[in-house]
Amino acid sequence: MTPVALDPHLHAPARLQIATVLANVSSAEFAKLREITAVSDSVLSKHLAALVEAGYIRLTKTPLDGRQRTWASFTRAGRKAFAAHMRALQALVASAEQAVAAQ
Amino acid sequence: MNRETMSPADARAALDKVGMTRTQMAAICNCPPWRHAAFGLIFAVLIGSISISGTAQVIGTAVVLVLTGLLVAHDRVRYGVFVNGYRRGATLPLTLTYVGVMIVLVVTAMFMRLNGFTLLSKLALAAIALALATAVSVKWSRVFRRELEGRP
Repeated sequence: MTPVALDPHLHAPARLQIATVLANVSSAEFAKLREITAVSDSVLSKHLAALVEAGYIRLTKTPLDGRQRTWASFTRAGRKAFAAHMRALQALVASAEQAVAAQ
Repeated sequence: MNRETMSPADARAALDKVGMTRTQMAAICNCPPWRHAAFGLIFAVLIGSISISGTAQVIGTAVVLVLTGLLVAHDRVRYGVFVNGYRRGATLPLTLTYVGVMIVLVVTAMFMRLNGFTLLSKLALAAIALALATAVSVKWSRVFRRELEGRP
Protein backbone atom coordinates (compact mmCIF):
# COMPACT_ATOMS: atom_id res chain seq x y z
CA MET A 1 0.00 0.00 0.00
CA THR A 2 1.30 3.51 -0.80
CA PRO A 3 2.31 5.37 2.35
CA VAL A 4 0.10 8.33 3.14
CA ALA A 5 2.12 11.55 3.43
CA LEU A 6 1.11 13.43 6.54
CA ASP A 7 2.59 16.86 7.00
CA PRO A 8 4.80 17.17 10.12
CA HIS A 9 4.25 20.93 10.22
CA LEU A 10 0.50 20.44 10.64
CA HIS A 11 0.60 17.47 12.99
CA ALA A 12 0.26 19.34 16.30
CA PRO A 13 -3.44 19.75 17.19
CA ALA A 14 -3.13 23.51 17.66
CA ARG A 15 -1.47 23.91 14.25
CA LEU A 16 -4.19 21.82 12.66
CA GLN A 17 -6.76 24.11 14.27
CA ILE A 18 -4.93 27.22 13.06
CA ALA A 19 -4.81 25.75 9.56
CA THR A 20 -8.52 24.86 9.70
CA VAL A 21 -9.39 28.45 10.56
CA LEU A 22 -7.14 29.94 7.87
CA ALA A 23 -8.48 27.53 5.24
CA ASN A 24 -11.93 29.07 5.70
CA VAL A 25 -11.21 32.77 6.13
CA SER A 26 -8.95 35.29 4.42
CA SER A 27 -7.21 36.21 7.66
CA ALA A 28 -7.61 35.69 11.39
CA GLU A 29 -6.45 37.77 14.31
CA PHE A 30 -4.04 36.46 16.94
CA ALA A 31 -6.59 36.75 19.78
CA LYS A 32 -9.20 34.81 17.82
CA LEU A 33 -6.71 32.04 17.06
CA ARG A 34 -5.78 31.94 20.75
CA GLU A 35 -9.47 31.67 21.69
CA ILE A 36 -10.05 28.82 19.23
CA THR A 37 -6.89 26.85 20.02
CA ALA A 38 -7.14 27.53 23.77
CA VAL A 39 -3.37 27.86 24.15
CA SER A 40 -1.28 30.59 25.77
CA ASP A 41 0.11 33.57 23.87
CA SER A 42 3.63 32.15 23.92
CA VAL A 43 2.57 28.70 22.71
CA LEU A 44 0.49 30.23 19.92
CA SER A 45 3.39 32.48 18.94
CA LYS A 46 5.64 29.43 18.65
CA HIS A 47 3.14 27.57 16.48
CA LEU A 48 2.68 30.60 14.24
CA ALA A 49 6.45 31.07 13.96
CA ALA A 50 6.84 27.40 12.96
CA LEU A 51 4.16 27.78 10.28
CA VAL A 52 5.81 30.97 9.00
CA GLU A 53 9.14 29.14 8.93
CA ALA A 54 7.53 26.36 6.87
CA GLY A 55 6.22 28.99 4.45
CA TYR A 56 2.60 28.06 5.21
CA ILE A 57 1.35 31.33 6.67
CA ARG A 58 2.20 35.01 6.62
CA LEU A 59 1.78 37.41 9.50
CA THR A 60 0.90 41.09 9.21
CA LYS A 61 0.58 43.81 11.83
CA THR A 62 -2.47 46.05 11.53
CA PRO A 63 -3.46 48.94 13.79
CA LEU A 64 -6.95 48.42 15.15
CA ASP A 65 -8.63 50.22 18.06
CA GLY A 66 -5.37 52.05 18.73
CA ARG A 67 -3.37 48.81 19.10
CA GLN A 68 -1.14 46.83 16.79
CA ARG A 69 -2.75 43.48 16.10
CA THR A 70 -1.25 40.45 14.41
CA TRP A 71 -3.19 38.85 11.59
CA ALA A 72 -2.39 35.49 10.04
CA SER A 73 -3.30 34.26 6.58
CA PHE A 74 -2.45 31.20 4.53
CA THR A 75 0.11 31.29 1.76
CA ARG A 76 -0.63 29.29 -1.38
CA ALA A 77 1.80 26.61 -0.14
CA GLY A 78 0.02 26.48 3.21
CA ARG A 79 -3.37 26.07 1.59
CA LYS A 80 -2.08 23.23 -0.59
CA ALA A 81 -0.29 21.55 2.34
CA PHE A 82 -3.43 21.66 4.49
CA ALA A 83 -5.56 20.16 1.69
CA ALA A 84 -2.99 17.37 1.21
CA HIS A 85 -2.79 16.76 4.97
CA MET A 86 -6.58 16.48 5.19
CA ARG A 87 -6.63 14.01 2.30
CA ALA A 88 -3.94 11.96 4.05
CA LEU A 89 -5.89 11.88 7.32
CA GLN A 90 -9.07 10.86 5.51
CA ALA A 91 -7.20 8.14 3.60
CA LEU A 92 -5.74 6.80 6.82
CA VAL A 93 -9.14 6.60 8.48
CA ALA A 94 -10.74 5.09 5.35
CA SER A 95 -8.06 2.38 5.06
CA ALA A 96 -8.56 1.44 8.71
CA GLU A 97 -12.32 1.25 8.22
CA GLN A 98 -11.83 -0.95 5.14
CA ALA A 99 -9.53 -3.24 7.11
CA VAL A 100 -12.14 -3.61 9.86
CA ALA A 101 -14.88 -4.27 7.29
CA ALA A 102 -12.75 -6.93 5.57
CA GLN A 103 -12.25 -8.88 8.82
CA MET B 1 6.01 12.01 9.12
CA ASN B 2 4.39 9.04 7.48
CA ARG B 3 1.47 6.78 8.22
CA GLU B 4 3.56 4.60 10.59
CA THR B 5 3.80 7.49 13.04
CA MET B 6 0.06 8.12 13.26
CA SER B 7 -2.56 5.52 14.04
CA PRO B 8 -5.98 5.55 12.37
CA ALA B 9 -7.46 6.40 15.75
CA ASP B 10 -5.19 9.45 15.98
CA ALA B 11 -6.16 10.40 12.42
CA ARG B 12 -9.83 10.10 13.36
CA ALA B 13 -9.23 12.25 16.44
CA ALA B 14 -7.48 14.87 14.28
CA LEU B 15 -10.40 14.94 11.82
CA ASP B 16 -12.83 15.27 14.73
CA LYS B 17 -10.79 18.23 15.99
CA VAL B 18 -11.01 19.83 12.54
CA GLY B 19 -14.79 19.32 12.60
CA MET B 20 -15.07 20.89 16.05
CA THR B 21 -12.98 23.88 14.97
CA ARG B 22 -15.18 24.43 11.94
CA THR B 23 -18.31 24.27 14.13
CA GLN B 24 -16.70 26.78 16.51
CA MET B 25 -16.06 29.10 13.55
CA ALA B 26 -19.63 28.74 12.33
CA ALA B 27 -20.81 29.99 15.72
CA ILE B 28 -18.34 32.89 15.64
CA CYS B 29 -19.42 33.96 12.14
CA ASN B 30 -23.11 34.31 13.04
CA CYS B 31 -23.96 37.93 12.12
CA PRO B 32 -26.77 39.86 13.87
CA PRO B 33 -29.69 41.10 11.71
CA TRP B 34 -28.47 44.72 11.71
CA ARG B 35 -25.20 43.59 10.06
CA HIS B 36 -27.14 42.17 7.10
CA ALA B 37 -29.27 45.34 6.92
CA ALA B 38 -26.11 47.48 6.97
CA PHE B 39 -24.80 45.53 3.98
CA GLY B 40 -28.12 46.11 2.23
CA LEU B 41 -28.03 49.82 3.07
CA ILE B 42 -24.64 50.21 1.36
CA PHE B 43 -26.07 48.90 -1.91
CA ALA B 44 -29.26 50.93 -1.52
CA VAL B 45 -27.15 54.11 -1.23
CA LEU B 46 -25.07 53.09 -4.24
CA ILE B 47 -28.01 52.26 -6.53
CA GLY B 48 -30.14 55.16 -5.30
CA SER B 49 -27.39 57.73 -5.81
CA ILE B 50 -26.56 56.45 -9.29
CA SER B 51 -30.22 56.77 -10.30
CA ILE B 52 -30.55 60.39 -9.07
CA SER B 53 -27.72 62.38 -10.68
CA GLY B 54 -23.99 62.51 -11.38
CA THR B 55 -23.35 64.65 -8.31
CA ALA B 56 -25.43 62.32 -6.13
CA GLN B 57 -23.45 59.38 -7.52
CA VAL B 58 -20.12 60.95 -6.50
CA ILE B 59 -21.42 61.69 -2.99
CA GLY B 60 -23.10 58.28 -2.78
CA THR B 61 -19.90 56.50 -3.82
CA ALA B 62 -17.95 58.35 -1.12
CA VAL B 63 -20.58 57.38 1.46
CA VAL B 64 -20.45 53.76 0.25
CA LEU B 65 -16.65 53.68 0.61
CA VAL B 66 -16.82 55.08 4.15
CA LEU B 67 -19.61 52.68 5.17
CA THR B 68 -17.74 49.72 3.67
CA GLY B 69 -14.60 50.70 5.58
CA LEU B 70 -16.59 50.98 8.82
CA LEU B 71 -18.23 47.60 8.24
CA VAL B 72 -14.91 45.88 7.51
CA ALA B 73 -13.37 47.48 10.63
CA HIS B 74 -16.38 46.37 12.70
CA ASP B 75 -16.12 42.81 11.38
CA ARG B 76 -12.41 42.65 12.18
CA VAL B 77 -12.97 43.84 15.77
CA ARG B 78 -16.16 41.88 16.41
CA TYR B 79 -15.30 38.55 14.78
CA GLY B 80 -11.48 38.56 14.70
CA VAL B 81 -11.54 37.14 11.19
CA PHE B 82 -11.94 38.57 7.71
CA VAL B 83 -13.80 36.56 5.09
CA ASN B 84 -13.52 37.52 1.44
CA GLY B 85 -16.94 37.44 -0.22
CA TYR B 86 -15.34 35.99 -3.34
CA ARG B 87 -13.89 33.01 -1.49
CA ARG B 88 -14.02 29.64 -3.18
CA GLY B 89 -16.60 27.21 -1.89
CA ALA B 90 -20.35 26.88 -1.61
CA THR B 91 -20.82 30.65 -1.36
CA LEU B 92 -19.17 31.50 -4.70
CA PRO B 93 -22.21 30.76 -6.95
CA LEU B 94 -24.33 33.01 -4.72
CA THR B 95 -21.71 35.77 -4.81
CA LEU B 96 -21.43 35.65 -8.61
CA THR B 97 -25.22 35.62 -9.02
CA TYR B 98 -25.45 38.64 -6.75
CA VAL B 99 -22.77 40.51 -8.73
CA GLY B 100 -24.81 39.82 -11.88
CA VAL B 101 -27.99 41.15 -10.26
CA MET B 102 -26.16 44.25 -9.03
CA ILE B 103 -24.86 44.96 -12.55
CA VAL B 104 -28.46 44.82 -13.78
CA LEU B 105 -29.50 47.22 -10.99
CA VAL B 106 -26.67 49.64 -11.83
CA VAL B 107 -27.65 49.63 -15.51
CA THR B 108 -31.30 50.16 -14.52
CA ALA B 109 -30.30 53.06 -12.24
CA MET B 110 -28.34 54.67 -15.08
CA PHE B 111 -31.30 54.20 -17.42
CA MET B 112 -33.65 55.84 -14.91
CA ARG B 113 -31.28 58.78 -14.46
CA LEU B 114 -30.86 59.39 -18.18
CA ASN B 115 -34.58 59.09 -18.89
CA GLY B 116 -35.90 61.37 -16.18
CA PHE B 117 -37.79 58.88 -14.04
CA THR B 118 -39.56 60.25 -10.95
CA LEU B 119 -37.77 60.39 -7.59
CA LEU B 120 -40.31 57.93 -6.19
CA SER B 121 -39.42 55.28 -8.78
CA LYS B 122 -35.72 55.81 -8.07
CA LEU B 123 -36.32 55.36 -4.34
CA ALA B 124 -38.28 52.20 -5.17
CA LEU B 125 -35.23 50.88 -7.05
CA ALA B 126 -33.02 51.69 -4.05
CA ALA B 127 -35.51 49.83 -1.83
CA ILE B 128 -35.27 46.82 -4.13
CA ALA B 129 -31.45 46.97 -3.86
CA LEU B 130 -31.76 47.18 -0.06
CA ALA B 131 -34.05 44.15 0.11
CA LEU B 132 -31.98 42.09 -2.34
CA ALA B 133 -28.61 42.86 -0.74
CA THR B 134 -29.97 42.18 2.76
CA ALA B 135 -31.50 38.88 1.65
CA VAL B 136 -28.29 37.85 -0.12
CA SER B 137 -26.25 38.70 3.00
CA VAL B 138 -28.53 36.51 5.14
CA LYS B 139 -28.40 33.67 2.60
CA TRP B 140 -24.62 33.98 2.13
CA SER B 141 -24.07 33.78 5.88
CA ARG B 142 -26.28 30.70 6.14
CA VAL B 143 -24.51 28.94 3.26
CA PHE B 144 -21.11 29.78 4.75
CA ARG B 145 -22.01 28.45 8.19
CA ARG B 146 -23.63 25.36 6.69
CA GLU B 147 -20.44 24.69 4.73
CA LEU B 148 -18.35 25.09 7.90
CA GLU B 149 -20.57 22.70 9.80
CA GLY B 150 -20.35 20.18 6.97
CA ARG B 151 -24.11 20.19 6.49
CA PRO B 152 -25.52 19.69 2.95
